[in-house]
Amino acid sequence: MTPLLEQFLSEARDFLQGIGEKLLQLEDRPDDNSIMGELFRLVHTLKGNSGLFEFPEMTRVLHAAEDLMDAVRDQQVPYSAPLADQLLEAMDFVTELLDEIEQAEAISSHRMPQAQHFAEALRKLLHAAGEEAPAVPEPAAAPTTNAVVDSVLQHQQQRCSVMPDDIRLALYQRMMAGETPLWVCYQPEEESFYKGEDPFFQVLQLPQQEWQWVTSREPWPAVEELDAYRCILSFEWISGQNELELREHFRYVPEQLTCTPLLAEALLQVSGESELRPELAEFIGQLQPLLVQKQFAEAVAAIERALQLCAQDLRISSALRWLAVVLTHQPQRHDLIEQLLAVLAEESGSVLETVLAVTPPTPVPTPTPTALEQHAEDSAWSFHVVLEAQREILTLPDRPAWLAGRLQSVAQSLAAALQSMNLQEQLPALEQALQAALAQQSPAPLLYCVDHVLQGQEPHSLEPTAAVIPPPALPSAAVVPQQALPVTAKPVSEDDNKPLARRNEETPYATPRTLKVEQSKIDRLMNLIGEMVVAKNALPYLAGRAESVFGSRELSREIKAQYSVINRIAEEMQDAIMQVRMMPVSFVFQRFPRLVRDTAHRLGKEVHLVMEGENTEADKNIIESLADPLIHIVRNSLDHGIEMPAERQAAGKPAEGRLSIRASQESDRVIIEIADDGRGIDPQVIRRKAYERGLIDENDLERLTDQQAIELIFAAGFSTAETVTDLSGRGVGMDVVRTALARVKGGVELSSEAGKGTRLRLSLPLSMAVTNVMIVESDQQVFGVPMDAVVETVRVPREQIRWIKQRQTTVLRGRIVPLVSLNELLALPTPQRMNADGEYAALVVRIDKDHLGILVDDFRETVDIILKPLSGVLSGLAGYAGSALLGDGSVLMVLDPKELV
Amino acid sequence: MAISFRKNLAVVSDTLGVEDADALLEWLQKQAKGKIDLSACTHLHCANLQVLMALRPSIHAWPTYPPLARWLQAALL
Repeated sequence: MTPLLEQFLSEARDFLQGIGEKLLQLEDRPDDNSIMGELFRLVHTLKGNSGLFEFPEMTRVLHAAEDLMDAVRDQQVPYSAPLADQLLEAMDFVTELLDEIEQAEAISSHRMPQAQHFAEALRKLLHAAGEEAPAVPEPAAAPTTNAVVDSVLQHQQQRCSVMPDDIRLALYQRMMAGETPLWVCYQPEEESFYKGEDPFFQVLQLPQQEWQWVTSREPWPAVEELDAYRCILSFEWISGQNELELREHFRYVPEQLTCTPLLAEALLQVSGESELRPELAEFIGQLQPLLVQKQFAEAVAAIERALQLCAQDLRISSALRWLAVVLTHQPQRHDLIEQLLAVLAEESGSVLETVLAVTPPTPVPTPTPTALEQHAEDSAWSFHVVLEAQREILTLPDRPAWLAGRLQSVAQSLAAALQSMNLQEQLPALEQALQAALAQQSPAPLLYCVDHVLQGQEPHSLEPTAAVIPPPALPSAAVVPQQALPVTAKPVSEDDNKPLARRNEETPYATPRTLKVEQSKIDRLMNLIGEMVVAKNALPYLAGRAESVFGSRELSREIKAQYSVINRIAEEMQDAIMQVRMMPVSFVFQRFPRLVRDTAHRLGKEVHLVMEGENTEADKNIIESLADPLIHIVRNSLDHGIEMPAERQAAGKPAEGRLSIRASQESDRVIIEIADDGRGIDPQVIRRKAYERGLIDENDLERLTDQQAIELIFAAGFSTAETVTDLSGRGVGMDVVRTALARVKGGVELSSEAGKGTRLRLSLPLSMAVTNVMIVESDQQVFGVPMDAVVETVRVPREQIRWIKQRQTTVLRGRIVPLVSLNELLALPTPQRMNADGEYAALVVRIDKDHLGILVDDFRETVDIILKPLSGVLSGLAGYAGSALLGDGSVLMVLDPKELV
Repeated sequence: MAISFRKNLAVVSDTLGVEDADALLEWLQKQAKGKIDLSACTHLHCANLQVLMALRPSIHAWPTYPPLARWLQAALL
């Protein structure tokens, strides 16, 4: 399931919930326009969303609902309880569809008739109240009178008259053998071309037809008045497909398709050239007695002989062929035989002497059992199979130990079989036999029961079963009245339709798989797990105390063992909550295609955007903080980086620039790379601009390396653009990017090659919930320093510290590292302490790209803490990143070295 | 464009799109005796079919693609 579909399902359920609520609110306050407006908006949005997917069934119902709500909103149709009922039912149906989509990711085609039923019901409400008379024909009023059958027959006969004789004959014979081809008529609506449809293409995609017709629904206008784009065609064909397949194929335009069974009589047409063949008169004379004596086989043989005497394309040959076929398959249809004989007589110039006893045509034969009877037969057969199987099991030799279990299982199978056949009254007898068998330790009583009591049973009358299994033809018959021809004629009553709508009440409520939770609840969980981590950290202290104060090493070890268990669980919990807060970067990325397209368009540039790794996940806060910097960067790339097409071509590059945004994960950080193949950053230009703006002095002009120069773009107040555009160039931009990223402990690296392009690499923590800090001691207080800033801890002997001007420095691995005392930074009056060997403790931290040694009194351990920003009065305090609770209950102030220095 | 108009013969190649119907109609209105060669045609949009049905030009060659030929013959013969 795609994320889009998942989102749709979850949203759709919310919408349906909302629609239901609003409808109920409206029952109390039918005149409240705001509720009505809201309701319309919900239905409208849901419909729009469903259109994104291939769910025409859902869209159809929702579209009808939308139209109805629109009319109600405009007060063309009054709001009423039946209207609300109808809408609620339709929404229940949509819910069912959602369940189906959730399970199968598709809607089965048999839903379409139901969808049409609901859509029609809604439209009827719309029309019933509206001015215009309903244009929709009354669906239930489908008379199955002979008149309808006759007109269908006439229509089919007329169409079939163009079919060649042999095709009609072959088809007729196949129908006699049990095939039931359909007569399909597809009438695309007049505006279909404007909707991007190609009805002819639809039709061509079908498997081969028996025969096909294309006609116009109205006479063709004069040549000069013809409108090529108003579709007035009508496609008809004889199809061997079943109706479900056809409806599936035309699922977007179900109302434009009508399927009726092909009538065999329509095929029976004598065709060919009329030519008087008197020599056959004698033959006809001989044929009649054979028919009267019902010697059909002889008659057919005689006809075949006669056929060899005439040319195949004569009318008389055609009549002979048809007569042979009718005599073979339907000798009881005297009326047809009479008709054919009359043709023969006419063509041979003879007079019909003996007339067959005209029996009224036998009522349309129904050789195939109805679905219901078939079902009953099938189940009776299965019932007997079950009985046989159980009987066989009972007769198997058995070990006493297993006998009881086997007897019971046989009895259970039999009971289930009886229940399915509605033979509940036999259950006591079965139970009795089972008890007897168990008592006697022998299968005999059960065997007797099977042979004498159950074997003779026939399944009970079909009425109860009929209620359970609706005939399959019903849903379509309910919607396509034309189909109600004798073969499938099923009166459609209100009751039949009810189960469609009411089913929802019985089906268990499908629970949605996603939860929407307010962020505050997750935050609370985060806080709780934070406290848990802190509480857990108290255990090592306790273990230490157990050993040092109470002298119990045993207890200390046990506490440590417990600690490791709790530690593992807490870490997993933390991880799980972290997962909940994770969001894919696509949340930010998704706006870029549009942004890039619009911006590039405005600038007259051609840009191809490539995005990768949209599924990379990070904490929600991180992702959100990423949005603004990314937009800045992308705009900058488009504005300053990528050149105009002409300029690019002159430089030998493709006219279309390329901007790529890639997200990936590297251990515990998210890396986002934004690269363009534009003109790159020219360090010379940057130097000059920075100098002009007073950001650097003349010395720096010479001194700065190229890399340092291009990084000047991150300096506050820097801008290279000659003119201020509405996109960028106001001097806010890259410095904002750097600060925004720094706020979430992210960093940015820039690399650029003049003429080749620029690459920015953003690196962000996956999550900022837990911070690893190192605890240091100074002036008998403890402070935390975030580990990501710490480079190393070293002991510096006093003699290695040199004073350069006013600053203390030392040399570490051939590098000069300035040293500052923490006490000094915090304005504590005491000097830093040394250890017994006369060494200072120096914590080397990274500030931007420079290293700095902070002298402290001593180092302690590193801990995971939940960093809480300083709030209230303390929030203005500079130099601190926040505070955290330690395992022993004390508060740890966490320093922010960058601010401190 | 999948249709090329010669003196009084329009040769269709490949697929006739919906927008081709206008050109076809215009040409047929001018060429009362225009003929159509559909042998290389693989599909034509329903609008074109409608034009052909309304103006009934003589078909110089039917499509070689059998289903298309069957339907066109059903419509135009």
